[in-house]
Amino acid sequence: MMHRSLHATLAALVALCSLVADARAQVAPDLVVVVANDLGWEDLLALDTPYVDALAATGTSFLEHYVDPSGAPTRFALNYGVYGARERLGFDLDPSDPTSVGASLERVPLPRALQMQRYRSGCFGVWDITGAADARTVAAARICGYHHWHAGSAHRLSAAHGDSHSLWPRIDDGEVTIESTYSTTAIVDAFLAWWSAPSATPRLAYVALAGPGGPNEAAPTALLPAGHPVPTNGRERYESAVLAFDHELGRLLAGLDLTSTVVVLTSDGGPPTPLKPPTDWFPGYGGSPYGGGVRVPLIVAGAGVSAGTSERLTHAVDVPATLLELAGDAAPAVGFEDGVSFASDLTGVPSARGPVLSLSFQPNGAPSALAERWCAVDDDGHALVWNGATELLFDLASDPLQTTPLPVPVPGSDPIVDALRALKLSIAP
Amino acid sequence: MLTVRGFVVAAVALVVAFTARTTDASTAPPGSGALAAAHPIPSSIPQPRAASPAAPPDVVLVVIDDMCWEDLFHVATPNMIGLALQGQVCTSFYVHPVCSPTRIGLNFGYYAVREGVAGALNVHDVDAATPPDRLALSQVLQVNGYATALFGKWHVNTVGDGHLTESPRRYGFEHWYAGVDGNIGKEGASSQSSWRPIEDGYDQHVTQYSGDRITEDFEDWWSQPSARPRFASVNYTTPHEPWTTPPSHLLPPGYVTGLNKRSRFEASVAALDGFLGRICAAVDLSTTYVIVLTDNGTPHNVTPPGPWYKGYKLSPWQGGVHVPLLVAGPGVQPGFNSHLMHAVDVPETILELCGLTAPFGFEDGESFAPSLFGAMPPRAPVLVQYKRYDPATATLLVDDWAVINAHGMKLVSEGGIENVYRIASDPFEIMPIWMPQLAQSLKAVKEAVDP
Repeated sequence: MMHRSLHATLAALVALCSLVADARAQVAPDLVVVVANDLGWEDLLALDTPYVDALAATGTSFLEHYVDPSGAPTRFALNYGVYGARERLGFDLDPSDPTSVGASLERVPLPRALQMQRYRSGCFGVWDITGAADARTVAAARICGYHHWHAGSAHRLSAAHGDSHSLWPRIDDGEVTIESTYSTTAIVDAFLAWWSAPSATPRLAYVALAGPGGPNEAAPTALLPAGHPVPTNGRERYESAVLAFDHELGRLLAGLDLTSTVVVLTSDGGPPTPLKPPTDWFPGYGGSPYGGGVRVPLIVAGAGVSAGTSERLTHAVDVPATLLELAGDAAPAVGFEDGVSFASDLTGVPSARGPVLSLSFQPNGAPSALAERWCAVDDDGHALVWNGATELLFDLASDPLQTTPLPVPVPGSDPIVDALRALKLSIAP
Repeated sequence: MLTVRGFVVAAVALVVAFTARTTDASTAPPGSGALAAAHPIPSSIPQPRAASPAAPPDVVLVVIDDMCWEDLFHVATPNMIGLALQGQVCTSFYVHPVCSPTRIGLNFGYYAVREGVAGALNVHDVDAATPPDRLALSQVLQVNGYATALFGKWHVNTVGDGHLTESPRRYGFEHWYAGVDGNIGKEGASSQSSWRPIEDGYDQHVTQYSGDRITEDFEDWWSQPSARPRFASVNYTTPHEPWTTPPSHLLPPGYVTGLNKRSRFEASVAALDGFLGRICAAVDLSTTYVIVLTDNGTPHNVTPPGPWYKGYKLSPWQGGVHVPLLVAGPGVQPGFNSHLMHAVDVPETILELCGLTAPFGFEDGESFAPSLFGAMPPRAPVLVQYKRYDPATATLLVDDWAVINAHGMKLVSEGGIENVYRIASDPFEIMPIWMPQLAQSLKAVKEAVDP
């Protein structure tokens, strides 16, 4: 009940703010990108997440948003506007491997390009883009252009690596300390501390929360609705982490001035397959190339962004191009070449986009990839899926849950499918 | 020992120090004169083509650690002279008399005192030195499509700024090879042949002479094919202390290094000239700008025999702040260039040579690129400065500075005593001139930066 009233208040507040947003649209907005770890649309529908709902109510929800089946290439795409496969980045980095190779540093990252528009930048939370062989992990996000990196983790928190959401090594501008505050809370606190300081120039914050994925632990009771039952299994623990994520998202949003800030809320991938939603809509979840793994939330709200939904096809690679356009740099000198800005869709003007590719593979850095999983989708909803064994074709317009594969035309016989296959081969031959 | 050759070098350098100061680049006869007659161009130096390149040029910035003009009178540097014959010898180039502020200027184009740095940084200081959101030359180049790499010394950051083995990569250098975060160490306690170069974040002990390693890493990087134009910042850790005798294979045949510090310093310069020859052999001057300069003057404890100047490193006298700058590359007509320049001008000059401009920052710099191709309006006066604090009490012990204008008038403040000198006629700063109004206007330049 309390959450519902807060929800309504926040929604009203945000709506009010967006009314005056147009007047400020000429000024370069502050930009906040919030990335959840392993969160799907289906999880949000299954649970009461008032703050996500409030943000969605005032902003634009992109219903056809795709990411890669693995976190690292998605996070790379969000920062570089380039498919991870172009840098042989296809899978999450192994935190215990000193030879792990991630993204190349010979690319222009978003915060560096935005600094040309006078943006200052901060990264908060999970990085998981560069490996230990690329750079000192304590410096990773700052080498890639962020001026500060607080409450940082070089990789996704991993139980196998000895991490817990309530006991994890945190990085603050190169210093490592052991943090016993719940990861999501600590990351949001670090963001708020940086954000609340006055700034003469616009800012970019990249807030990559460690939950609700990562070590499968029950969230602290204080972050859950009163009387929330004690979780008894993996899915319930995961759901408690989703609720905690939403609670802390509310705290983060309360620290923003949405008349001058654009917020992007998204996820790096669907929920872990062992913890999939009981509704079980899709043939596969986290790590898979099916809708439950690669079709995730993207909600954009704030300065100048109209309320509604968009069916414009988007991919994580589109986010940097969009933010650069919002910042006044529609055509950066180099880089971001796979992204297509969806800035116009934020004001209700639909834009077109060619097909997108969601791809994961192992190992990173190898000249020829093994264990590929991919899905190429076009804006008419044709989805060509490679699940590691078989090529499958779906018509998402009539079969969004991918229950009925269609016969796959042989190469050369169907221009639509050929185009999807050509996209994949052009990025990962 | 004054050989005929040494005499010619000395005569030529005197030309540099005196005559050329009032000579415009446009009037200097290209590729002729005593220099050309005395020193045939080494085969390692390719002839530049006259036409400007259509594609963005490559840039190699070479930074020598602790050397002034006078040292070139005592050591044969055929490669440096060969490069000078291909490009311009800039005779009015000023730097701070100490490493860190000059290097901050070279990378960020501002007087480091604006961020509280006016002396050599202790890299282990927990206080921050250079803000992470300062826009660097390397970042502007990288964002505009350049491949960027730093080789050797940095000395711009402290641990208060972040992890020392990654410092330059936070500012847009994609790679840092043969890296040194500050200095290799002190004379008597460390060696240029036993050190820990940083290679992209990780350091390990080697026994390879520092300059050889730095050059080799540059050669490796430069020889890789690149679809992008390149910017290499090559920062030697010599002839700065420790004055380790360079291995004989890095010295000219038959070179004998004496035992005292000055002899080992001079041997370090001779070895450095060999490294410069290797750099010149690796680059194509028809598409590459090569800029060679020094971060400050000769160390005060290895000054040349019969020293000319009142002061060297750490002092505001010419031996500390007036250092060599050579620029060669596409379109640069050989000759002397007397345009007033400062280390803070280097970033915007490189950007202009690359056809780029900085969106903001670099507030103290003024590009001198036009002076490389013709006449340009004189530069506003420049500031050089050194401060030292008591590490225990933070009391200011030394606050020396100088301001130099485009007419070669220099206001020196040493130990609180201020005097004006006319460098054009009095390069050794022997006779102060009573010019109170000029002194006031030059002091205002300093006060505007550091009240």
